[in-house]
Amino acid sequence: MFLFRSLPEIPLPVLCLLLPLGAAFVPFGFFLYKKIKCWHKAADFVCDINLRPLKIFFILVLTVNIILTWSVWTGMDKGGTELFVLSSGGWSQTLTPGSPMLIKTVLQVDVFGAMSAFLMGCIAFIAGLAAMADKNDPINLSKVSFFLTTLAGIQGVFYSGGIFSLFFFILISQIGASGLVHGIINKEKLIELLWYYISRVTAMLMFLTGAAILYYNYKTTNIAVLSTLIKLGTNEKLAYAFLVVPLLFLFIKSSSYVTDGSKRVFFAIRAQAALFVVFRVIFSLYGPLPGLEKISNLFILLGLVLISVSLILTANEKDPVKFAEAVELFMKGFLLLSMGISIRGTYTAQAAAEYGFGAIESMVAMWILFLPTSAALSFVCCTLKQQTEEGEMWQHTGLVRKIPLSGAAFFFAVCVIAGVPPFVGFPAKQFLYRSSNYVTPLLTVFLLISTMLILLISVRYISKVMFGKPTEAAEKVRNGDIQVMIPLILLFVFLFFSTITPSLFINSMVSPSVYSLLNKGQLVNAIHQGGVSE
Amino acid sequence: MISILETGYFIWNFTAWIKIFLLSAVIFCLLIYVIKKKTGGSLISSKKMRGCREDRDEGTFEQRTAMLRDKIMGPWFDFPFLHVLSMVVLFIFFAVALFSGNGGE
Repeated sequence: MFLFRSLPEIPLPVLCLLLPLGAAFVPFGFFLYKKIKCWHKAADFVCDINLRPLKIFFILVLTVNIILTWSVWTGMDKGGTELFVLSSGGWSQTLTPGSPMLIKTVLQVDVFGAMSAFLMGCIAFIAGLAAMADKNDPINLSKVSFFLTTLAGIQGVFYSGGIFSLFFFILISQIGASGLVHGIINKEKLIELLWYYISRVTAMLMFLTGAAILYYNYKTTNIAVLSTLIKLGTNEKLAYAFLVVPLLFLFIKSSSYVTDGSKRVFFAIRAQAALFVVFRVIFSLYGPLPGLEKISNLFILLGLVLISVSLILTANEKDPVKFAEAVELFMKGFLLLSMGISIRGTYTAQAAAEYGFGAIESMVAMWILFLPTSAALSFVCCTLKQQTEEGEMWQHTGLVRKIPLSGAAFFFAVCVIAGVPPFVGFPAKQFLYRSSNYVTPLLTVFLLISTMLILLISVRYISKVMFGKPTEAAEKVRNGDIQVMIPLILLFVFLFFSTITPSLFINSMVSPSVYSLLNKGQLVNAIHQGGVSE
Repeated sequence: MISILETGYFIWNFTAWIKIFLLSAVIFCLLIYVIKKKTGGSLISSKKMRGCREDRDEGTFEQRTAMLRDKIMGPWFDFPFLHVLSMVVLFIFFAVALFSGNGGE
């Protein structure tokens, strides 16, 4: 009854969470209804439904989601951080120290989370379009249900202000992702599947342990409140490891080998969300506490390892999906490395002024670009993986006439990843090169050489596939671009727009995110000082 | 014609870019010309090509990386429990970095 009464004044971020979650249950409920009906009639289960209403429903949910997340983000420009309090008196935007009302939930949304949710909503929409156009693996009830479950979970991650709520939404996104990877259990791959679930359960349990340790010590898991209270001891160090390690793992190894473009994009979204949680824990919750200095070196080391591994994996790779995975690993390596330099740069005022803020801006900019470039790569590489009369499409060289748009998108994405000027990757990376020079010039040299290598390897791969001597079978290849044409054009528009207006990209997306990432506890401090926040 | 566009973070100096690209193209063409003249029309000298199959396009770098990938990294990637192992290793790394005394700066 109380929930029903509070519905009319429900805030937009809560609506953003409820919409995909509620919508995920609609196709799932219909699926269950069909199954029960067949069971009742003792007939074989066949889920044949009219796909048109399902597609309309799916695209409608994704469109409304974009509008809602856009509204939340644009609303953030005024305040930077917004509070939504569900108390016994319903929803309000006020939190006072001596509030007589029983507070049930406090939702704190900041610019970083709001911007991320909008970006993710757009990419999810694009992935949804690609999934609907896919003729090899047509959309169905369970696929829509799992897509929306993943979306709801990730949306919740971006809007969560507490570690327990983060755990809850990571769990939801994991349920969705597990359904996308292994929709139907294959007995032949039972052992692999078993280990997959063991690893995911372990990751969830580790995160829960970290949250429990902090709750046991501070009686709260709200990140903003904790950031003002936390003192580094053995328990906090343990909690740090338990919170960061599983999410870092989910970021690095975000999916198994999947050849469906739209599914791969959802896994990339999930990887981005995992890193978002790591950012929250490292920068918003712990910050530059004495005793965590060595962590920066560890991140730099992990970044170097990932970059080296990705170069080895891409060097002689022919399978396009594995190539895309390896190039994504390269981006992940750069992100971890920039994170290490950023952490290092926050310890002293001088370091922050010299290179710290530059490194954080670079880190956030690369994090934003990770998703669209990864999505473009996924669509192109999964197109190349399509079956033809004789093998797979990538095995026929000289495909530029057959898939020109994919070729152009591939080249554009590679240029963004490598940070070739004047593409948008360059303004993102130039801060990192400058910052890495303060750590050691050798690091800058390594980064420049590895960037050049990945560019050469990728361009060679593209030229082999696109401009090689066409085989006889290549003439029979159908135009595979059509299925991914709209998603690729939309991604191209985003990347092109940020390329020609880098200052807009940095000022409207990167800088506010950096500010809110580093000032999560500001609102709580204001309340502690007796002020009433908005 | 506007040749400079100031965006605040990146300067689109078109004239400068054209000069850079043209210079790069000239250097590239010159390099190819010199190599071709030395090797008699082929980019790779006939000495180095001796014994190679026609369809073979793997260089030394690729052979080394392929060996690294297949012989050293490959067996690890095939382990079904690699995910759990990776998490354990990551946790150990973090534990060492967190509990190994003060250091860093």
